[in-house]
Amino acid sequence: MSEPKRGRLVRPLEGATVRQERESVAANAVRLNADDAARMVEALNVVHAGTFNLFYLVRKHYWGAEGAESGDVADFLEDAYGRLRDIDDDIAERIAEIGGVPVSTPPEIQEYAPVHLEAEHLYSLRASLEGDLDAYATLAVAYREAIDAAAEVGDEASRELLEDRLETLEDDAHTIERYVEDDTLVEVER
Amino acid sequence: MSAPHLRSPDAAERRREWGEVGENEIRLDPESATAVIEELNRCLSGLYILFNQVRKHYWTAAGAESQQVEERLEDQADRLSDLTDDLAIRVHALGGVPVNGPMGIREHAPMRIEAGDVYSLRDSLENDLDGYATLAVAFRDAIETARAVGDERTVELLESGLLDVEQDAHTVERYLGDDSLTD
Repeated sequence: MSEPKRGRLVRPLEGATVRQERESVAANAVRLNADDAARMVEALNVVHAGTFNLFYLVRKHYWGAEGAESGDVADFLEDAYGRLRDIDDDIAERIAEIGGVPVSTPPEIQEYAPVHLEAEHLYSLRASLEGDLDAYATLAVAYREAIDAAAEVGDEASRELLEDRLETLEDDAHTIERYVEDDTLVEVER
Repeated sequence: MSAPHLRSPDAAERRREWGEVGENEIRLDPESATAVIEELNRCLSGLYILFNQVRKHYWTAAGAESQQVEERLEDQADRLSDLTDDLAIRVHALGGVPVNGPMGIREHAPMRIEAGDVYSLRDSLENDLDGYATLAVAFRDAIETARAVGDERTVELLESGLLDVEQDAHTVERYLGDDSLTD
């Protein structure tokens, strides 16, 4: 993976000191050996990139729901995107703690993310929420895989973090499921 | 133009096309609304880029001063995020589609995206300061356009946002003025 992934907008900072290169894994303070740390950084970057994308997806749908005056759904989506942002911060900080670099540029995020963004148009609230529900399910799979990896390498702190945040994601997915099942959702916006 | 990795719900579910300006609830004529939406989308693209840049910097901050800087940057990211919501919801009200993905960000970007390497804290903060300065210019341009078409509500929104942007830029500037900022 030596080919730098750069979108047209992405550029290195001129004259700046690089403290750590992307995709490198430095020695860490938590005593994971290098191979195990590298494996966890990889698994956590998948989770991080997926959470990052879902945050943007849910926030987009919050704007749409707010615009359509779907009050209840809008309030929930606003809270849910806030939770995704916090979870994503926690995962990214864990990556740094174990010596990795959280992916941060759009090409890297899209390369890692199991959750795909939506085309730029504005869609019906129902179609938006159905997409979110799918995305939560996809992301949950990535969390479970990272939890397995953490268990195998004995990274208990990452495992606990992932298990705890997965519970939050599952609760929010369940709430969205109830909105999608509610027939009045259609009438609200048409 | 649509990338294959994007999820694309059925066309029948489409309420508004990206780039299209529909009717607005506030009786602004379509031409004026389009001009204001264009400016707001430029601000939104800048807010996205700077938000993610600031987040990257508190995820990876290291050094003697890092704890305090980390907390401040997190608060700054919160303010950028709140501003993004305000402006995006305003674009909806004006009948437009707010920037909401990589294509829109590229199309409207007022600044570049920092490469994926981790830079020294000082270099990182200098880039943040640059980002805030660029964002402030985009906000001022947008204020001018909104004022010219008589969209006072957008003017107010942007003016209060500009104040936040300038205050946070000043905070970053003070860090950079501090000689003890090490990596």
